[in-house]
Amino acid sequence: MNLKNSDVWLGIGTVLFGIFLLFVAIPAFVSSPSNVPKIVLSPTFWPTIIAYLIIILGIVLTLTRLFAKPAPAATEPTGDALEDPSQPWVRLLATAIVMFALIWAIPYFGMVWSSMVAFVAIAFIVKTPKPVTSLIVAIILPLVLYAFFNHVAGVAVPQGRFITLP
Amino acid sequence: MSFFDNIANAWPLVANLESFLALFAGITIGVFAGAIPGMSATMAVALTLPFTFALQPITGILLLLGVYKGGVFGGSIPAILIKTPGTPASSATILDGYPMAENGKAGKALGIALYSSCTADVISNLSLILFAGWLASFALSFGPPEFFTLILFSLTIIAGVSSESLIKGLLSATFGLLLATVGLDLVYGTNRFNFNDANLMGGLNFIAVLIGLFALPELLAYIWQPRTGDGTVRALGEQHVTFAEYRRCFRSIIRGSFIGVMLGSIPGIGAAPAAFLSYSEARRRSPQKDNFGKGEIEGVAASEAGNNGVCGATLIPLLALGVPGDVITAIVIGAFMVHGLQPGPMMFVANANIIYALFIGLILSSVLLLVVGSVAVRLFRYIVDVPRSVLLPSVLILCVYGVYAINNNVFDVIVMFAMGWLGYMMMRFGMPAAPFLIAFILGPLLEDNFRQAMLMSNGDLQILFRSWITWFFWAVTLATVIALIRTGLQQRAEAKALKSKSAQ
Repeated sequence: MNLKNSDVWLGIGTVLFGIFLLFVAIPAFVSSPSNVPKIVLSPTFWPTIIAYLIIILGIVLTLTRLFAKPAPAATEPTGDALEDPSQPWVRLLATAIVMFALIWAIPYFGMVWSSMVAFVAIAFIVKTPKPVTSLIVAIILPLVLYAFFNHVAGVAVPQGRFITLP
Repeated sequence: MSFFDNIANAWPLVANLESFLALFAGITIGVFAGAIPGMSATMAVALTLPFTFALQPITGILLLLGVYKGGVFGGSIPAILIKTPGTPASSATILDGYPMAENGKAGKALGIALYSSCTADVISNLSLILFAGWLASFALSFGPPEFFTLILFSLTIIAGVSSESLIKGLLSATFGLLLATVGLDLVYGTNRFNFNDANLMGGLNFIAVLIGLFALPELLAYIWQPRTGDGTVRALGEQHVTFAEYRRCFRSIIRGSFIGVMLGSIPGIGAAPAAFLSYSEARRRSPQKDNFGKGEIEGVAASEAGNNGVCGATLIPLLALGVPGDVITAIVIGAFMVHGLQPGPMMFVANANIIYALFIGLILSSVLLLVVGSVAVRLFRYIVDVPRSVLLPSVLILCVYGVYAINNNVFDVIVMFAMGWLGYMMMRFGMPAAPFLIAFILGPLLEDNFRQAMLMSNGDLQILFRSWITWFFWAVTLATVIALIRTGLQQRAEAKALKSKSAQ
């Protein structure tokens, strides 16, 4: 993606977000008592100022990039040159799924077992050149962290419904 | 109470095995984390923070400060041996460190880096001890309008210098301020963007936000582009720095230390600009200026003195004013808050023993850095061998455990993941994360002081100009904005001139 273009889109997105804040989000999600003596003391005052700032900065960003001289095309950081360009996106999507699955799995399977699987999944996504080391660390690290947080720091690490660790 | 009374009261807090071990462990973790390319001092401090919850306040804070100091020095090891700075602060060290390594003098370069780092660290710590108390006693006279203008100035400078684009820095800070409004209103207790969800009533947990912003984007960037090797590790070669060489570099080390102290005490500047300024000053004044860039030992000494000179000094605004000077001190403030402490002028009155115990610990850290650093230099070959494909998934697991441990709540883990993706998006759009985090931390303080000022004046904005202190902060804020815009325009003009020259 050209850096200039991405900045223009960032600017436009920012302005739209600021307008959404001002006209939708603040009226809907910020409550203010009716008896506020001065507008500057109202709970909506600060978010409103921030929304205006966001709009102004978005406009400035868009205009400065629109009227700037064309920038040389920025080289997108991708994997190696022979890699299919969709692969980085697939890896990111897979990582997002691992994160969702981890959050979902913690109450059912416990943090230790879920973390082990998540570790292995991430190592698989990046095609680790050290699969044995990854597997060993995937088993040991969550257990060590469980031992520290559960027994030293006194944190009740979720154990899940199936296997309970000492 | 006199200075010596305070020291006597603080001594028992720090003169114990637990504090010593925490400092030692912190420096060791920091040096190793700084030495691993792909890790950074910031990430190391963020990941260590959850382990301090179970410790005494002073022990936990010393552990984090040890990681900070060790991390800044550790970054110089890969800078010299594989031409990859472990931390941004070590970028200037490459200029002469790597040519020295190529000339078979890597050990000498690492040696002078260590000695200049330790010397600068001592000077920086002494500056902290001298100036923090003085500044805090002065800040006791600050009221809400003064604090409001001070925080506004800090945010402006942090937003301005964190990125090449002032607008993106300001935008990042504004989004941080917006996120800080989530929760209950500070005065009326009404809902603000919390969607009646109990998890959001108290606002987003700041440790989850900072770990998400500073640890996960590195993992996501690696997943986008998995990299294997980081270059060839140079042999240590000539190992010992002679006293004559240290003496030859001494002026540059002292000058660099003071540059670090000055830039470190201004919120937002950070270690990298200090290292480059110190390096360029050393080159300008050195009789061996022609040798700079080709493997000049004085160049390594100057850049390392510059970046380590910042370490103690960044704690001056943190301890005296309660304003974090950079991202790492913003994380350190978390350790204070977790233990119910609020850095700022009142802490010098209410918890002076903790402040002075920190001072003692920091002086001790300079000695420990010398010991740990000299061992780490020899172990670097093994440190750099840690595969990223194992390291970065480990970071994910550490983040999950650490963030869960804050409140025993999976919701914080969700916040951390969301912040991780946000941080990654910001990274891809070239938006700096530092102003976002610092604005998120300072946002409630900024708003609180503004509204207190408005309550005092019955809504009259003139109170924000009531004293010479507020005028001073307004003036420096304006001067900062003008200077940043001018620098941006100059850079644009230079780039334009260069482009038209190359087209001809």
